[in-house]
Order: sequence, then C-alpha cells, then structure tokens
Amino acid sequence: MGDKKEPVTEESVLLELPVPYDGPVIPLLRALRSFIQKRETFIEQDEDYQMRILAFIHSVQVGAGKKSRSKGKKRSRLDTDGEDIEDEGAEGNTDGEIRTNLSHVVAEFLRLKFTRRVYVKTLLHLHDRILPKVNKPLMLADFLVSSFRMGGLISLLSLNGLFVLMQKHHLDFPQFYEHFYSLLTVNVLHAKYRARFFHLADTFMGSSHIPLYTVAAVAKRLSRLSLYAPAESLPLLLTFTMNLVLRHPGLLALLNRTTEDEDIAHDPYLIEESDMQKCRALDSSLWELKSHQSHHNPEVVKIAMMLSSELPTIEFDITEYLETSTEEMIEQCLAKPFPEAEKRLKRSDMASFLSRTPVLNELWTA
Amino acid sequence: MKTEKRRSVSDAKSKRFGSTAQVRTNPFELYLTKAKHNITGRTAGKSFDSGNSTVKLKKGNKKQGAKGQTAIQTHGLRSVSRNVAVTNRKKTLLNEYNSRTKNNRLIDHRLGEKDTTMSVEDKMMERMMFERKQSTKVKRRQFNLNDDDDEDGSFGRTMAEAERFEDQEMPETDDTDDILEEQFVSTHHFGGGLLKKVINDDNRDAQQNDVRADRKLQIEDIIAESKQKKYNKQNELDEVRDLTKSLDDKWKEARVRSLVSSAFGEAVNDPPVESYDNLVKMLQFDSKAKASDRLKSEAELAKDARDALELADKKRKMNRMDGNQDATASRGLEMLEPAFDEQEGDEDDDDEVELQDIDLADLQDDLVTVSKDADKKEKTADPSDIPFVIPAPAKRRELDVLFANRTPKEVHTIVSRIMSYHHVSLAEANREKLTTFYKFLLDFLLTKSDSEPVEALHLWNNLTFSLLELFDISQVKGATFTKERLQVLTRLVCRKTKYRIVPSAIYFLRFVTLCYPWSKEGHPVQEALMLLLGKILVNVDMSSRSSVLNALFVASLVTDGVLVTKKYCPELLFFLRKTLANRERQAASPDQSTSPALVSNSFSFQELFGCEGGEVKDKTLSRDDGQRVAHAGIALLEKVVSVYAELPAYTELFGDFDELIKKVKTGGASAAQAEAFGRLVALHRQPRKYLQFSKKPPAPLQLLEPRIDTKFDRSKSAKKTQVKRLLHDKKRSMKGAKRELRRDNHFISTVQLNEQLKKDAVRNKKVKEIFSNLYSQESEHKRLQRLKAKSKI
Repeated sequence: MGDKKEPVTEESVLLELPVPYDGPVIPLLRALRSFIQKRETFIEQDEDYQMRILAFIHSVQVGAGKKSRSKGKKRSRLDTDGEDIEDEGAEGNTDGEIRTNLSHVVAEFLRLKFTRRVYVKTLLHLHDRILPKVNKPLMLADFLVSSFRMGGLISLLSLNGLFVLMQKHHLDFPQFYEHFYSLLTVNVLHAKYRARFFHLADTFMGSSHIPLYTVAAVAKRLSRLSLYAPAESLPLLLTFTMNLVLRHPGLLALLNRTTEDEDIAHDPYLIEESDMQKCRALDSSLWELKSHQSHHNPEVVKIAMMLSSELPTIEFDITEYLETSTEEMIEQCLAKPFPEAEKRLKRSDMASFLSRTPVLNELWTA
Repeated sequence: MKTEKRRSVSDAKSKRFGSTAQVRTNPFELYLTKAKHNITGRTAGKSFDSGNSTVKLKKGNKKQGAKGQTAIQTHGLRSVSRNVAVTNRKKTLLNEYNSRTKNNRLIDHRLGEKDTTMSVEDKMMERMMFERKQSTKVKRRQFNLNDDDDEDGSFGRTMAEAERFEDQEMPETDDTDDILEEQFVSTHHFGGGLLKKVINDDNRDAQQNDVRADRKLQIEDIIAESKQKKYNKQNELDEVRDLTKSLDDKWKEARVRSLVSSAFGEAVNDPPVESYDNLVKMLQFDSKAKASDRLKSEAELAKDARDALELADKKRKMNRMDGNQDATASRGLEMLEPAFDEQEGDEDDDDEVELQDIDLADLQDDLVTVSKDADKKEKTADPSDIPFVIPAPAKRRELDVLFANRTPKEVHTIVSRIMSYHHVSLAEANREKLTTFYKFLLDFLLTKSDSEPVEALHLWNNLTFSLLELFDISQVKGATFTKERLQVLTRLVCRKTKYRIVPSAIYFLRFVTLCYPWSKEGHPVQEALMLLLGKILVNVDMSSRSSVLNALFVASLVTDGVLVTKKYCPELLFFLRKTLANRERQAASPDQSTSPALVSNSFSFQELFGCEGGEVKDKTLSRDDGQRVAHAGIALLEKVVSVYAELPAYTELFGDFDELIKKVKTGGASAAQAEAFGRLVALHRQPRKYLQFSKKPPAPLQLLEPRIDTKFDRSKSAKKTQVKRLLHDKKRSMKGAKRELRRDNHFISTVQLNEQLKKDAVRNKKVKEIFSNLYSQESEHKRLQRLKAKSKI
C-alpha cells in the first residue's frame, strides 16, 4: 500500500496487483480514486490501465452483494460468469464503507474518456457488476443516458443498465420507447449482441401498459427488417413478433384484417417516420413476415407458416431461439440422414465447371 | 240383465239401421287415446266378422269399407268392442255351454238344408235331381266300353289319347319282338300261363305251391328278359349315333378341305395381284425383328477398356525393350514407384484428409519439396510418356508425384486411365480404391486452388467430369467426405466477423453445387449449402477488389439456386443492397460525378483471384470496377425479380431497390439500367390484399356409421332378452287370460240367469194357470154346493 504513494511506481504496481485483490479493499479503492483523479490524461491514453481499473471495480465484492442480487429479480442468464468471485476481502470492512468508496471510484472512472473497447466492456457488465454495488445507482443515469443517445452498439448495450434503473430505481426517462424504436435497424439483426438485445426487448415489450401504436410500430419495423435478415435471426424475429401479437390482441389486425377486402398498392407504413404515432403501423399488414413462408430454410418456413392460421394461445419461448447460429443450423441440416443418391444418367448430365447455369454464364467468363 | 236387455234392443235397432245403410258412428261414443307409434307385430285391434256388426261398421268406417276388409278396428269404440266380444262369445262359449251335457252332435248333410233362401219345394226339387243324377251315372258306366275314365291305355292315358300320338311315340318298339310278343301274349296274358298250368295239371291241390313258385320265377325271368332287351336296344342306338357322328365329322373336315383347296386353286388361277397388295402382304409376313449382336454390358465394356490399356502398356514396354528406350520413356514407370519412405507418407495421411484444403500451412513445405523432387527427375513432361496402366495411388503423396509437372490435359488423361483401369464393375474392391482416389484428387485440387488459383481453373475444368463420376462411385463415403469439408468451411466462415473468401472455398462451393444440383430439391446438403452461402454473403469482407468479386461470385451461385428453387433468400438481397449502397456512397462523393461507359459487363474468372492477364491487379476497387460490380449486382437483382414476384412483400422489397438504384445511377449505362429495372419492377407488381388468416375448410359432415360389434355374442344377450320378453309376455297374457276368463264367467252367469228367469217365468205362468184352474174349480164346486144347499131347502 505504501508503494502506491510513490507516483513513479504507482502505475506498475497497479498492473501487477492480482485482480481479485486479496488485501483490504477500502485502501485500494481510495488509492484508485486518487490515482484516477491525479493521472486522468495518462489513463485516457492507455487502454491497459482502463481495463485494469475496470477489472478492479468488477472484482470488488460487496458484502451485501447477495442482498442486492436477491433484490435484482431478473438477471440476464448471459452474465453469470462473475459469480464465483470470493468475498473474503470484504470481511473486515463494513458494507457501507466499501459501497461509498466504490461509488467514488466509479464516479471518477466514468468521467474518463474511454476507448471503444473499454466502453463496450464497461457497458456490458454495468448492470450486474457495477450497478448493484454503488451507493446511489441513479448516479449512473447520466452516463447511461448519454451512451444511449450515442446510437449504434453503445446505445444497444446501455439499454440493460437503463432498464434496471428505470425498473428498480424509478429513473424517469421520457421517450424511452422512441429511442428504442430508433435503435431498430438492420444492424440489430446482424450484431453480435442480438441475443442480449432481444432478451431486453422482450422485457420492455412485456408490459401491457404500452400504447398499442408503439407495439405495432415495433412489430412492423422488425418485420420490415426481416426482409434482409440472416437466416439465423429469423426464428427469433418471427417468434418475437408473434409474441407481440399474442400479448396485444389489438395487433391481430396486422395479421388478419377482415374489414377491408380491397387491393392495396402501397404499404401505409412509413419507415422513415420516427414518431411512432404517425408511422401508421396499425394500418399496415405484416406482409414481410409472410414472405418468409418461401424461405430457403425449412425451419424458418415452419415457424412462418404459423402466421397464416390462428395463432397459438401460449407465447413462444424466445430463449430457445436467442442464440441460434448459422453453424448450429448447418450442423442440424447435415445431421439429417442423406437420401439415397440417385445415379447421374449420362455425362452430359453433369455440368462443366463454369457452365450450364444462366447466371454464371452471363457474369463470368473463363 | 238390464244391460243385456238394453243391448239386445240396441242390437235390434242397429240391425234395422244397417238395413237402411244410414248408420254413422256416434262421435260422443268414440273414446280414443291417440296411438303415437305404430308398433310392429302388434295387431291393430280386435277384429270380428259377425255379419251384422260388420255391415254396420263398414258403413261407418268408410276407409276400411273401401278396402273391403272384414276385420274391423274396434279400438276406441266401447260399445262396439263390447258387442264384438259378446258376439264372439255367443259363437264359441255359448255353443260350448249349450252342448256341455251332450256326447254327440248331429251334422245335417241334407242338400239345401242350411240355405235359408230356398223354399221347401226348392229343396225337395234339388234333392230329387241329385238322386236321379246319381242313378243315371251308375247305369251309363256299366255299359260304356270306351269311357273317358277308362285307364287301361298305356302310361295312364286313355286309349283315345294314346291313339292320337301313336306314330310319334316309339315308332320301332315292336318290330323285332313280334314273335315273342305273340308267344308271350298267348302264354301269359289274361292269366294264360296260370290257366294253362292249372288245366294241364290235374292234381291241383298238391302242386299248388309249386305252381305259385313257378309263376314267380317266370315273372322274374320275363322282367330280366325285357331288361336285357332294353339294354341291347340302347347299346345299338348308341353305336349308331357314334357312327353317324364320326361320319359327320369326317364330312365336315372334307368339306373344309375342299373349300380351302378350291380357294387356293382359284388364287393361283387369278391374274397376278398388284404390286401394292403384294407389298402389303409382304409387310404382313415380314419378320418384325432380326437377331443381332446384343449390347455389351457395362462390365464387359469396362473389361475391354482395361484389356486395351494393358495391351497398350505391354506394347509400350516392348518398345522400350527394343532399344527405343530413352530417358523420357522410362520416366513414366519410375514415377509410379513410391519415391518416399513409408513413414513420411503415413504420418500425414489422416490430417491431410481432414483439413488440408484450407489449412495449408503445415503442408506447404512438403509440397514444395515434392515439386522440387519431381523437378529434379523430369525437366520436361511429354504427353506420350504417360503409362497406360497406372495403379490407384494409395497415398496422398503418390498423387502429387503422379501429377507433378503435368498439364491439366495430361492430368485428365491420367485420371481417366486410372478410373477405367479400376472400373467398379471389374471388382467391388475397386470402389474402395477409387473412393480414396477421389479424396486425394479433391484434396489435391483444393490445395492447388489455394496455391495457384488461376492454373487450378484449368485443372478443375478438365477434371470436373471425372470428379463427379468418382463422387458417384464413392457413394456414401464420398458424400461424408464432402460433408466434412463443408463443416470445416462452415466453422471458418462462422467464427469470424469478417470472412475473407479463399480461392479453394470458391472452387469447393462451386463443386458442391455441381455434386448436388439445385434441381434435385430437398437434399440436406443443399439446405446447409444455402445457409453457408448466405452466411458468407452476410459476413464477407469487402475491403479489397478480389474479395468483392469473390463475394459477387458467391452471390451468383446463390442466385442460380434461387432461380431454380424459387426460395426466398434474404441474405442475397442483403448483400446486393449492401453492394449497391456502397456504390451509392461512392457515387455520392464529389470527385466521381461522371464515369466512362463500361467496357464489359462480365468478369473473367481470373479476376476473382486478383490477377488478370497474368499481372496482379491493384487491390482496391477502382471506380470502373465499382460500376461493373454495381452493374452485375443489378443484373442479379433483375434475375431475381421475376422469381420473387409472388412474395407478399414484393412491393416493399423491390421498391427499396428501385429507389436505391435510382440513386446509384451515375454513368449513362447505369441510368438506362436503372430505368429498365424500374420498369421490370413495375411490370411484376401484383395487386395484393391485407393479410388474412387462411380460412379453415368447413368441418366435414359427420357421417354417423353404425358401430358394428364384430365380436358380438348373440347367444348370451339374445337369451337374456328372450327370457325377459317371454316373462313380460307371459305376465301380459296371464292378465289377458284372467280378464277373458272373468268376462267368460260373467257371460255364462248372465246366460244362466237369463235361463233361470225364463224358467221362472214359465213356471209362474204355469202356476198361475193352475191356480186359475183351481180357483175356477173351487168356485164351481162352491156354486154346486150352494145349489145343493138351496135345493135341500
């Protein structure tokens, strides 16, 4: 501890300390705080230090961690890896002290400018490794809201923490759903964090107090996105949208509009309109989802086929589809028994390497 | 008594009404409970046919009267039914009652006795007539010889009848046994034989028994004789019939023959037939097929090919022996001998099969040494020195040696020689050999594809047929091999966020589409391949020129599949959209406002691997190329439009693209293409409706079929129900019988009472008479006494 007072070696000591720190926690936290205050620019330049500090913050175990954990009803099942950290270090100190100190460190830390990698990592575990441990969780609100407004992956990741704040700590965030709606782009379907996003979206849209036009807009937007969605995301997308309809029977008109029987040339839905009230999603139909009935993958077709008949009464379990990957799907396909190979009739029945198909012939020459 | 009297009065009345035919049922008397069901097997009601009542009721019940039935429905008519019952009793019970003390009964058979309409005189007349008739009948029979009733004629017919048909019946019965007949008649008929014997023998009594036995014997003889005669006659008849039949047959045959011969004779005599007819006849009798050499079976062809190879090889060796040997000629054979020690070969064997096509690193060095090795041996390869008989390589390394410094054509020759020498139909073990050969060959090609992608194209072009044939031969094992490769490639593609397509992957994917053509739908490999291609299109790295072109090639593979299978592939559209959007971004940048017209729209295959015309091109996508890529992308889209015209979301999908392409257009050619695309999209746009659930078909009518119990045991349940029914019947009939008996008793007692009353009345009358007589007697007596007394005085 004494070593840390010396500014010259401070950095090296920080890098050498074991990450689940086995000494007394409070002095460490105090030292960290002063270190961040003092060496702000230095840390901002070096990604390693940022990661290091983040690791320390993550590893601090608050005695009442269990309490906070029990308070958090919903824990994403994706984030279970931080649980086996021992809480020996916290024995000698009172909970409150650790919490206040940690809060100070976090406050200082979040004020820094991170590299993108650290930013992502911070946001990834904010809701389960930082938020339950600080004194006043609402102090993270500023950070989260600003990240949420950044757009793209960062705002996607900030959703989780924001949601916890709104749910348990009464954070008032007007126009949350508008922002959420604006997040729905093609990138969501291709992103690495698709599972996390949809898991959260499922909880957001789970409330029955959301206005119908909001749900309709989300459903229609997702359905529009599905036109370009990779096969692996389609089962999730289809079941998620169908769940929306199941939860809000008012949306049934999107799938089964019996009142009007005329041909419709243009979709009334306006995808460019950011205001969900004005985008006329409720006047539309989910043609895009129905198009997947002729998808190339039979699994997708099977789910899409359910759109044409009366929907089931029980919601789909989307967790089943959250983490479907193309690799799995291919493995599934290849695991099927191969049909008996038919014999090719003649030599002319076999194509040469670059011929016989109209597309290849036209675009490619040998 | 009172009621009985009243009824008799009513009866009398009804009788009177009946005669006037004006009777109607009294509706107030009708006492009916409506019958709800017709119960089968139940009689409609009690019926009676006593003359008077019937007449009366017939008139009342017009329906029944119309039918003319005597049975009357008395149901509901109380007085009528009672009347019926009483009448019936009068007919039966009363008779019985009246004759209860009697043992016999007189039946009157006198003519007309029962007919009430006849008068006494008529009856007498009738009887007399009958008597006379009887008497005349007897007399006439006595003297009539040819009576109608005479049945002495043959076969129970009268003689007159028999006479009429005499000629037809048995025309030749009596012609042969005339004498016997005569004799027979004279001796036996009319008791002849017996009489004769009786006359001949005087001592009649003694020989009585003998004679009887004799006669019996004689009769038996006669019977036997006649039987024999009949049998003989029948035999003769049969013979005659057979003979005539055979004659008939012969005659017919002869006739047919003569007819045929005469016909032919005439034909010969006829003038010569026209050539057309002749031709037709010739055609008619022409043989339909001629014997020819059969086609050789596959096995025989294979054997021939093998023999030819062996022969050629022998010749080649002979040439060498003759002294023509030069360095090049011997090289072919030497090359076949394994140039490596076994250990080296063994250790790579397995991993090569697994991963070599993609992970080249560990093998690259080996390959280099191999090629160097081969280089040392032969500087120049000569197509003529390829040996004819080549053993299938058992090691991957041998294959490399075999193909070292060979042109693609020569490689093809080698492969086809190996294949024909190891044809499967020659030995089943060859399948195994060829399967390993297939693996090695594919592996070789894939390795080559990565190291020298452009040269590999010629190899692939030359070897595709052979490879496909080998793929077919290797059956399941080949398929699993391909499958394993596919899995490896999948892992590589899926585990990176940006996948850079390698040439071997391009070749391999194309080869898989050849192995499993899109037209054969529903194969698991196809599904997997579509997913993989889609994933590549999504994940592909588009940073360099060649990778863009590679992706475009994959996209055209997918488009091919889409055109055939007509399936929706979002990944393809995602890729095309991304490409066009990139292009739009480029076009939007200020420095590239105009660009020259395109030189050519298609890409050469060499471009895929970053070199064109021998020289390696720059890595970034040039402006010109960008336009070409966009052009190609639009071309792919155009192909897809017609396939996806049926999609419900067609408008959204291609409307987007239409706008995008309009933004992309920069050069003159692109603008025209954008316009064409817009027109195409508009052309395929179809009217569509809001989504609705598909209507359920109406529930089919429930057809209720009787449930037939196949194992029904009739005996048990039938017995039970029968016993029940019998018990019920018994109870009911017991009740009915009791009731009838009660009524009978009542009837009898009324009858008895009536009798008693009548008797009493008679007695009273008699008593009164007696008393009146006595009174008058008494009065007379008193009057006499008074007179006496007066006179005395």
